[in-house]
Amino acid sequence: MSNAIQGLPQVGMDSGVSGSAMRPAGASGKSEFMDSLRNAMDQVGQLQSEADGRVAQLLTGNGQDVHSAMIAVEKANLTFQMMVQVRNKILQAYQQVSGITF
Amino acid sequence: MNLFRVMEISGSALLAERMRAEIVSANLANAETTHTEAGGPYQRMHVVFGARPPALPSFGMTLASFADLHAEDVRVINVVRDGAAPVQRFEPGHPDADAQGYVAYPAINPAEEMVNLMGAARAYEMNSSALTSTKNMIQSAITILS
Amino acid sequence: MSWLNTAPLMLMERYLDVNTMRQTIVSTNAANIDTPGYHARDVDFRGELARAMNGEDTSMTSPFVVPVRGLVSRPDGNNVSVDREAMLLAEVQLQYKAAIAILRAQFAQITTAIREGQ
Repeated sequence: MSNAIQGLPQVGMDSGVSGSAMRPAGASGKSEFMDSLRNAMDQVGQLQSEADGRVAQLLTGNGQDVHSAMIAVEKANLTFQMMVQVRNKILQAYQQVSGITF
Repeated sequence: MNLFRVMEISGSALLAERMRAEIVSANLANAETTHTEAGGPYQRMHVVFGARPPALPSFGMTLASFADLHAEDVRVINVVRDGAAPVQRFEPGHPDADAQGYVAYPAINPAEEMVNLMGAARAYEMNSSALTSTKNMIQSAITILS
Repeated sequence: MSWLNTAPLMLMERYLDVNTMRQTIVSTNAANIDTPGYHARDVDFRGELARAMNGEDTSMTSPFVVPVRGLVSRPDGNNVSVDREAMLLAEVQLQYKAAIAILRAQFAQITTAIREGQ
């Protein structure tokens, strides 16, 4: 069960949001942040459409398990929440970085 | 593989067993009926149950459709008139007696019909609890989101 | 997304799948208790669980359906036992509900982990 908590810093690393990755505000730094946010959004979109598909199958009686549809929806929810957190972290880091004066 | 479909299976069994109980009850009620509209004594009836035969699995079937192979509805495929000869009893004064004084009675054994009825009732009860447990499972799956 | 698809979560999903399959089979057995010639079937539950615990990716394979041994056939060829099926119905329902409860706890923990990261 501790995988969930240990896995979270991993997400931050995967998305490129970590202290060591901070650079002075510039075009390259900004695009790295945007890339990781876009990755997160893609994941959300993918899971959301899978959840939508399963729910539609459930509603039309196409042999979809109730629990599978519910789990897919919950996974999409959690990924969305994660994306919001990633976005917040990126914003924070970006603001910190752009606040540095030379 | 859908629990809603499983409810339909249990439902089909409830329907079939109820039909069986009705036919058996009719037999019991008419065990002494010597005269019907069609002439002659009442003919015992019984039901024949059948399941949809399983199809053969094919390569590349998804999980859901494979489970459908094993989800078999049951239905009453036939209501058959028993061909047994009527029981002849010697009752010369009876209005339905023939020239020799014999009355034709239905070949119905009340004890046997009662056993059938109890069997139908027990099967009905079991499928009713199957339906309830499936319903409970669906309800608990819904709680994942709430 | 290993943070989301953890091994315990996927085990629960598989467990729910197998129990759903078993409910299908048991309900079919119960429905066909008076069908002449019908033989009771079951899911190879222990086998499926062992495969899931070993971490095999079983998401695309169907649970194995086997005939039940040790049952007595009645004159019409049917060997479904009322007591056995009734007992299995209760068992499957409880196992399913327990798995749902565990799954919800897992999701709740992931949610907490996300929120605590703020």
